[in-house]
Amino acid sequence: MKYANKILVCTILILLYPALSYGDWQFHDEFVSLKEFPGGFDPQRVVIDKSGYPHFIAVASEFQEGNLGSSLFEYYFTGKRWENTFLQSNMSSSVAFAMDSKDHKHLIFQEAPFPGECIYPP
Amino acid sequence: MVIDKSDVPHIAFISGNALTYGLLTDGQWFLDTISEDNSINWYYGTSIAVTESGNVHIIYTKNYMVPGSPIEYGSVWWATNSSGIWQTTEICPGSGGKIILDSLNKPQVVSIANDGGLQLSGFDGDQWTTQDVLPALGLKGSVQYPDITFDSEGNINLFFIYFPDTSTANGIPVHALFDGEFWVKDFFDSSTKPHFDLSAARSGSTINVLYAEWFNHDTLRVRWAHASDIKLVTIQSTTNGSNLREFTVIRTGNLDKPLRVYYYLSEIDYNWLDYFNYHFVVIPAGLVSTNIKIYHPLGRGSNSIKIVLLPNPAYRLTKPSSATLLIK
Repeated sequence: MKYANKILVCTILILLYPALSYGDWQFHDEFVSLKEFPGGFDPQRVVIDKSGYPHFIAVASEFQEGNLGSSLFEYYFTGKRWENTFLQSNMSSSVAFAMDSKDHKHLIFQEAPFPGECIYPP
Repeated sequence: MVIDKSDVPHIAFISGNALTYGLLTDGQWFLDTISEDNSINWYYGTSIAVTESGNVHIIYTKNYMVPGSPIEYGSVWWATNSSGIWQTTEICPGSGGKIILDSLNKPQVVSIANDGGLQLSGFDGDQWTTQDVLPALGLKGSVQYPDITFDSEGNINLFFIYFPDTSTANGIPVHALFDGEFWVKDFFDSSTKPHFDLSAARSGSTINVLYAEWFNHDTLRVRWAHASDIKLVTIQSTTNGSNLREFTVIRTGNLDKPLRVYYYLSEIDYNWLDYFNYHFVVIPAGLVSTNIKIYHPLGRGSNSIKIVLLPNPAYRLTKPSSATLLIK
């Protein structure tokens, strides 16, 4: 019985490893109401600026039905909280976003239905 | 889209049944059709990387229909102009994913296998090799939204949404690290609600990941998680007294938080059930080291004690990662 308990403890520890984590991660959350965007809210690929803060483009739709296009928002973390900026309406969901070495933002999107490109400084 | 070292944007996109590459030069977009195939179902899933010398690497997925069947399957392809002309090569069956370049400009690709598994492909300069990652992590199931980034030491870090039960939408975010020898998984977010739209990026010595979660029926939570990757941990033996054996675990990097370091202890020539065990020790906040003290009764059968530090996503091991002390 003594060894059976030890085998059980060892087995549990071995199974737990390496799933154990100390929780060194830090989290910063932004809550989005789907009542505002019933057609969906899709955060695109994260981009980190030179200060280490994240930016992402969200493709959000106020319309649940039909092909009426989506709106683009830029979300960014200020160091204390998330902020967002409205960019364009009547867009498709095809978006590419990047930042260069000067933190200038490059955004390529597809209008509904025409393609377009926009490059702007911060 | 990727921005090169001269701040020039490059894009790869699908137009009809063609893969197109675009480069912005002197205010004008130069477009080049790389691959066009009307025999396939469709192209999708592009990802692009550019070397410092301007060579372009693109991955994309070709989707096929099985003749006479509604079954579809995908195949991940690689296109590069490294030789001066565009060349395309099939990497592996699968879909989607992301390409990054290591310090030698060799591409690494993460993608989803056709059975839903997670696969990592590497190009050694001659050929591609692909490994099935989930079994190496001790996981079964399927993944979505895989992403890949290197940490500041060049180790591969994978992030993905993991579905242990493929019949439900309750995918959870997972971080996996390959340090060249071990794969280590990290369930860094305890939430088991459905997650989606994951992407990852490195900034300096910080690993970042962003993803969305169905928080409740009418609210999404977008979560940015980040962790530093520069904690190096090593061990040395310090005391060899009469019945006290003492080891010191040392770390570098940010000291703001305590650091839990995992290890196993083995006592040679003794009952392994008693002395082959997994443990952890905590280096307190503000301190670079802490000691592991082992009081050992004299006269027992073992003749040495060995401590081996174990890898974990919270730190990186550096040599020596094990230490041994004699008992008698």
